[in-house]
Amino acid sequence: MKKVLALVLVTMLAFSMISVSAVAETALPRVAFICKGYSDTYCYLVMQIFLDYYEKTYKDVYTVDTFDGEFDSDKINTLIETCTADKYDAIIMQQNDPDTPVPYVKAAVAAGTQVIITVGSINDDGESFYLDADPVQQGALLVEYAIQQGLVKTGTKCVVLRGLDGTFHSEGRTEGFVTLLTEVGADIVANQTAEWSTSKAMPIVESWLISNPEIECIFACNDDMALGALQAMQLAGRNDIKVFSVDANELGCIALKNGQLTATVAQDTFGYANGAADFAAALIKGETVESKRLDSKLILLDQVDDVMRTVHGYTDEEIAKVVEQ
Amino acid sequence: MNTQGLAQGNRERFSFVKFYNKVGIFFILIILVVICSMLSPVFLSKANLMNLLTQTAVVSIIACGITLLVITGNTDLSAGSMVAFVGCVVLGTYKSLSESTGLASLPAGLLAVGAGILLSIALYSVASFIITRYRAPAFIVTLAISTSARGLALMYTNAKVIKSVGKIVNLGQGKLFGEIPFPVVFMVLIAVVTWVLLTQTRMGRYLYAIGGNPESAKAAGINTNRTIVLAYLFHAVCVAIAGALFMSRLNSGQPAEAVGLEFDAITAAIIGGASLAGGIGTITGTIVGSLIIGMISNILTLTHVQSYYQQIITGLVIVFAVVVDIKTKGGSKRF
Repeated sequence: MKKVLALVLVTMLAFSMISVSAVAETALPRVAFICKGYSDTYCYLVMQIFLDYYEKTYKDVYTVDTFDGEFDSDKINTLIETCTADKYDAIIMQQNDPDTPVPYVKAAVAAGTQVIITVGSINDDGESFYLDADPVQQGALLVEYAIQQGLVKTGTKCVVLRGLDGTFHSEGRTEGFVTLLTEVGADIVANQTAEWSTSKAMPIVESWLISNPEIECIFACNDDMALGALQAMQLAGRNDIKVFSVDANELGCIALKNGQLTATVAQDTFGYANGAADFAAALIKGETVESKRLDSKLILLDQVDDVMRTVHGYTDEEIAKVVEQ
Repeated sequence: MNTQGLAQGNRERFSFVKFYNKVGIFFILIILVVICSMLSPVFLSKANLMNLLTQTAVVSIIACGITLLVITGNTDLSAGSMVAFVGCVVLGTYKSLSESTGLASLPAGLLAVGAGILLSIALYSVASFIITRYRAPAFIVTLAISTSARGLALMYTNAKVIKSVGKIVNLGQGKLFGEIPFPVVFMVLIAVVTWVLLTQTRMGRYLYAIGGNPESAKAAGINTNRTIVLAYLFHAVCVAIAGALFMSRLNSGQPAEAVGLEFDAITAAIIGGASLAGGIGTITGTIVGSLIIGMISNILTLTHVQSYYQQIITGLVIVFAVVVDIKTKGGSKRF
């Protein structure tokens, strides 16, 4: 009986190995998409747009599996390692910071897996390809606009809401804010991290409105934190403070449309998403690609409808309803 | 008769242990209020005190339920994820009811919150069944629920924010008589109900008995499994209400929010005198513990101290609370 069982098991094992290799030979190349964090509305949006574009354009060229990096550098590195060991043909990833994934990305490339970084880049001496924007420029755009409009000048009381400390985009945008605000002589009365989170930003701004009621401008590294600030302002009955943020995500656009947010910055979302899909297809075919820096754009009331249509898929009717609500 | 000895006998020597066990936590609260009012001139302003109470309300409500669990020697590591999941379901349900059926605000709100409570009860029923029936560690089971609940929240919302939720936001943002924020009202009500449950009912006595010595409790005829399940179900209601308040205060259903709320709630219970070994804990202590944590965060923000220092200070407070707890609950030793 034991011998029969052993024989059956060995046969099953051999059969599965043969069938797997047979499937592997005929299967499409595989691409892994490692999202920085599903809970980040912008990064998740980029992934969704990527998937839509992939379905229309590259469904017959490669297959895609998506993974959640959970905002955790260690988790992202583990995913890169796993995907490399699993012999993915390419990895598209969004980085948490420019240095920690470097050894894992280099190992992936050495093992024959192409790596494409979207919504950022890493310091790996050109081993991977990137679609990036400059977060310092994103922060600076907002302050430059505020200065042009006379909203920020010498002595203007400002506060800064940082993203997760130590991350590429938070550090860059904060640098963009602080450098220009300092140059113009604005008074940065508080500068605190709210870790990209609406619920963390809200009590911080509630307290600031009491400790520093003279605040005139709030600069937030992302729309989610700006929304927390706007909630706090609304509950305190303060509509006089100007709020600036980055991302032009759906709720940010709605807040801008309703006059709550003063300005936001849109990254080239389609450039990040579609570009990553195009890069993956080209690299899988053995073609060469060139990394790109994509400019971000200041979004004001005049431009927000266009963003809502093109990026967030709103119809004109839906846009009109946003104002009515 | 030795009158001198009699006088000495009548005058008990001061025992820090007895003093701390009776009123220690309130003493710490008062000292903290004094220190905070010296550090910031606006700390005791009406606006700031209302903010403080509102900001601690959600954690306090969760802590009321968790106190019952801690008293029985159990815990819950899923409260944060459940707040996110149930909160999104409440807002999503309200939005569907008010938009597609045209139901009026109040009945839609009641139905939505009811749906959230039922969902929470269902999930915690499963958890408590596994914990009691299979004697599985509550730590592991609720950790599993936590992961699942977060996934369910992302699945329910398709990982998007539920926006334009309508008048249900008044639950988290409105005020009773235009003065007292509803989250504070709910916090007080739930704290009172929990206090009555723990101190005035048989179930309360059973909870302490189970936490003190489960075998003795069983031998005394207490249905320990049933009591623990009931404690989890009460906690489920607390979590559901906390979820509805949390999301309505944010003005949107955000599936990725409320991370780590369970640790804040457990910390509040421990600082308030509950023991992770079970058998000890009070609701008044828990609420005061929650206020202490909230006050530390509040004063550090008012004085513009960076958040990483806040985390270090909160950690030190927890260590201090645990050490004092061990020292004072170790019998009548003088400290």
